[in-house]
Amino acid sequence: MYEFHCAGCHLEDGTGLGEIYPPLTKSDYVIENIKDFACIISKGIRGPITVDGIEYNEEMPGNKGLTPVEISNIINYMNHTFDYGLAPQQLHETKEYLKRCE
Amino acid sequence: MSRIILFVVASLLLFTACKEESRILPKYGFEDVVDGDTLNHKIPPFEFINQDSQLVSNESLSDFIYVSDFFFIHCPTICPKVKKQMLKIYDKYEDESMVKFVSHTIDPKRDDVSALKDFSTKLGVDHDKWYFLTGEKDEIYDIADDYFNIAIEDETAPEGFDHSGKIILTDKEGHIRAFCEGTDPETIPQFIKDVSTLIDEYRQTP
Ligand code: HEC
Repeated sequence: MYEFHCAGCHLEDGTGLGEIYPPLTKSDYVIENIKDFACIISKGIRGPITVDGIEYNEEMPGNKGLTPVEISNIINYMNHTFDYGLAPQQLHETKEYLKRCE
Repeated sequence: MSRIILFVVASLLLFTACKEESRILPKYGFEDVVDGDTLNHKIPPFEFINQDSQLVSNESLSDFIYVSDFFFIHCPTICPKVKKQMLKIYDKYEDESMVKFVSHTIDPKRDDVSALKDFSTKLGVDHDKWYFLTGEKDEIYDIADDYFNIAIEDETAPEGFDHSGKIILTDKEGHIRAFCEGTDPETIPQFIKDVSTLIDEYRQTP
């Protein structure tokens, strides 16, 4: 899932590219905004954000087609692969978080 | 005894000489026969505009060997992967004055000079070392063919383009001497070696 939907920009190893695509590995942004994570995946994100001290001001498209289960899977996959050290996100939590951007 | 040593040294020398020989890079592409002479495939003369609105042509690159790829900024699939590998190669040869980097956009409509400038700045690379080129669409696609890249507009591909992720090494005369798959990190170390081999080739025969 991650591979297919996200790796094109953020790369398989999650390291991103220059000041264009922010990294997802150990991203302080993800960890601080974990409640927005589901919405970032679903709706995308634009405008200036700061990730690990570097400012990005690009646009990430949303993934409208993804179901809450799939979004939850991506989040947990990333949490595991990139070592965020967060508790696994339960499906009902993902659904709850997704209400923030409806 | 000394004769044996001499023999060993001589054969060692011979051996390394052969090894050097076999490290000469091929010249890729179909050969042309002109007036009975067989000529290696060459990149034809070209002129494009870089991210600083400067003209970059085959002539301005004739003192350099260069590493090139094709991309476009709004490419969500393979381009960032290729750029990542290009960056790796760039890091390796950042201080080697013989090497330049050339990235052709295949989406000149959106990737104009200022978009390319913004992109190269955000990538954090030296604008005198790595050119991001735009120009007439037909010319870009023609030159892509010359680099064996498949850059065909394809409505079904994400963002409307489908293209190959090859990274190509061109020598001072415009011959293609090596290439690799920018989407496959495992092909990069050999490519980096090939760049060094070509540098040595010019250093040895000034
Ligand atoms: C088309 C390229 C693209 C794709 C595909 C993409 N992103 Fe992004 N992503 C971006 C860009 C660009 C930003 C920065 C946006 C900004 O500057 O506001 C970003 C920002 C982010 C951020 C917040 C910043 C950070 O690094 O923590 C997260 C989290 C994120 N993306 C996760 C994902 C996930 C998960 C996927 C797959 C479902 C994905 N992205 C797919 C381009 C992309």
